[in-house]
Amino acid sequence: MLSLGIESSADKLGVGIIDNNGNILANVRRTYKPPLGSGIHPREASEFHAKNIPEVISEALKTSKLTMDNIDIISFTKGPGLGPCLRVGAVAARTLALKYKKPLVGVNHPIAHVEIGRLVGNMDDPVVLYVSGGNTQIIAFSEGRYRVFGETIDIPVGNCLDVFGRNAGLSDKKAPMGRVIELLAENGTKYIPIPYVIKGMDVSFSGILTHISKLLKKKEYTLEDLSYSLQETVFAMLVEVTERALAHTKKNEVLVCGGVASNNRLKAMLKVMAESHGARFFGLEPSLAIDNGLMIAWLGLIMYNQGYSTPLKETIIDQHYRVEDVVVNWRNEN
Amino acid sequence: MEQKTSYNYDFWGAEAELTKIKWFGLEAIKKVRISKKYRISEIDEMLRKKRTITEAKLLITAKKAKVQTPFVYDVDSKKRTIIMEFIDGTKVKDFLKSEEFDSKVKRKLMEEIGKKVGLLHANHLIHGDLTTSNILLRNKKLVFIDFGLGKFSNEIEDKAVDVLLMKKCLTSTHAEDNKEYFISFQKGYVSSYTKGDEILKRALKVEARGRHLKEEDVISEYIF
Ligand SMILES: Nc1ncnc2c1ncn2[C@@H]1O[C@H](COP(=O)(O)OP(=O)(O)OP(=O)(O)O)[C@@H](O)[C@H]1O
Ligand SMILES: Nc1ncnc2c1ncn2[C@@H]1O[C@H](COP(=O)(O)OP(=O)(O)OP(=O)(O)O)[C@@H](O)[C@H]1O
Ligand SMILES: [Mg+2]
Ligand SMILES: [Mg+2]
Repeated sequence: MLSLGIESSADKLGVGIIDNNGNILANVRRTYKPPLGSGIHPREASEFHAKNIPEVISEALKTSKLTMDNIDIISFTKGPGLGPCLRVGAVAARTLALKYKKPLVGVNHPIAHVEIGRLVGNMDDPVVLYVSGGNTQIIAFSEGRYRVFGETIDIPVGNCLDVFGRNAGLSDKKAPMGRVIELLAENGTKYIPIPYVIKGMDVSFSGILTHISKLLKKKEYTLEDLSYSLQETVFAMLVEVTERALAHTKKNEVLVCGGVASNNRLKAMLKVMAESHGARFFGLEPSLAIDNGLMIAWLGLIMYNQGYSTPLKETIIDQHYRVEDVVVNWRNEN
Repeated sequence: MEQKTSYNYDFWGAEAELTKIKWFGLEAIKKVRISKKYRISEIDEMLRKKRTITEAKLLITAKKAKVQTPFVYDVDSKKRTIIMEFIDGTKVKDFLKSEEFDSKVKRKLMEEIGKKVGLLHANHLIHGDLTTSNILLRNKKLVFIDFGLGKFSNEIEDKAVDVLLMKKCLTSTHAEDNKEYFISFQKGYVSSYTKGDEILKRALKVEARGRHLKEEDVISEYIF
């Protein structure tokens, strides 16, 4: 059984192909780049996806030496995400399904991040920290569904890093903004106090962003020290709420995914925390941690095997699709 | 004076080690905020000290708002330690999950919790970590603990976030009956706190904003 998955919920367009045993046959990705100094523009991103999607699909088929006839099911991201972007993936998936008479499965994006992590990290029941430009959530399985134990109450952590970087005039041409900040932080030495805001198992970054932007304007501190202080603060917050979810759910695995999961400092901190609780830690490599089509293909396959499929007439997207909305019948109760 | 009665930490929290001790002959709990190796010492020291002091202050002030809390016997901010009364009871979480009681009793309890939170808020006390693990039940009376993330504030937003913490705890840990429980909680909340309605309205806004939802999607879960 082969599944082809299409991801297009934000600025990344990805197509992946995977088989029933979790063998990765293709994982192709292209990224829409907004004009320098601005954030994602949903309509422009969707135009980028629409233009590139035929090529990305052919490339995925080519690298796996397959044709559409070999594919058994088509999966796509149903949500959450940016409406215009999601629509491109959904329309492409439906077109392929109609033309080649394949079943179609629409999947939840954050759950796809979790499931690819379980597969590749060989994890059974992890507490998951999902951190990207669009999301900041702590997810774990409980009572038949994935549930959000903690999340940001305002902006996502990746967004906080990106806006700080833009305000500081840094360029993300050569590397993602978070990576640019990570490198600067490695040379930071002095900790500048920054508000530390956690509320129960939730975190908040907008006050931090305002504060650090003011510090930036003062021009009293080096970019290295500011980057270091910002990273140490926001990552300590994220690790603390992950730790609380781990302690409260009594699980013994910790998984991190999303674009910010590429950060070495964050991974090191999570590892220390997990091990202090006797838990195992796993961080996905960037090609699978960042939005990708493979994870969509994999979740689509799991769900199809459990009897899920999306009627062709109904390939509606859901910008606000919540993880709790999905009945997880492919996992045993923990 | 201080004497350990049990060597295993039966009460592991995420941020502190809790031990049951004898304190001048009384049963007591010693809560020590332990150092976390994953964060730099500047942040670690600041958090442990600040939370120890905040917790002690709020435990004491809550009593004035007619909300039961453990008596604080001693605070040592340098050792990040609080010694407080031992509450011989059960966590509300375990009570709600137990099959022994019917749902009417449980809803009544949630309403009682709402009333107490209303009293805290009416007195500008923010708990900061409202969960069913941080409220104990002793002789049918509620006792609130774990105020380390709290603060004194009269901001609508802070109170709304407190309410939301309870809502989220109900959804993630008491999934089955969470909607009814939250309704009962709100009934109690507005009954003891005249500005309660306004706080609930803000809670809806904050929830919708953080989760990228439309207010219409969740408004039915609120009672204002
Ligand atoms: N090494 C790094 N350290 C910290 N942040 C990083 C690093 N590399 C990338 N990032 C951040 O990851 C974010 C991008 O995440 P991702 O590639 O998963 O896309 P996204 O569209 O934000 O994802 P989603 O749709 O899942 O929210 C950006 O905020 C970027 O700055
Ligand atoms: N005074 C007390 N009397 C009896 N039991 C207590 C008392 N204080 C705490 N406990 C028990 O210990 C547990 C952990 O305590 P507490 O919540 O204060 O610790 P924590 O480390 O701050 O936990 P959290 O992970 O919630 O932040 C409580 O859920 C409760 O069961
Ligand atoms: Mg607690
Ligand atoms: Mg606590």
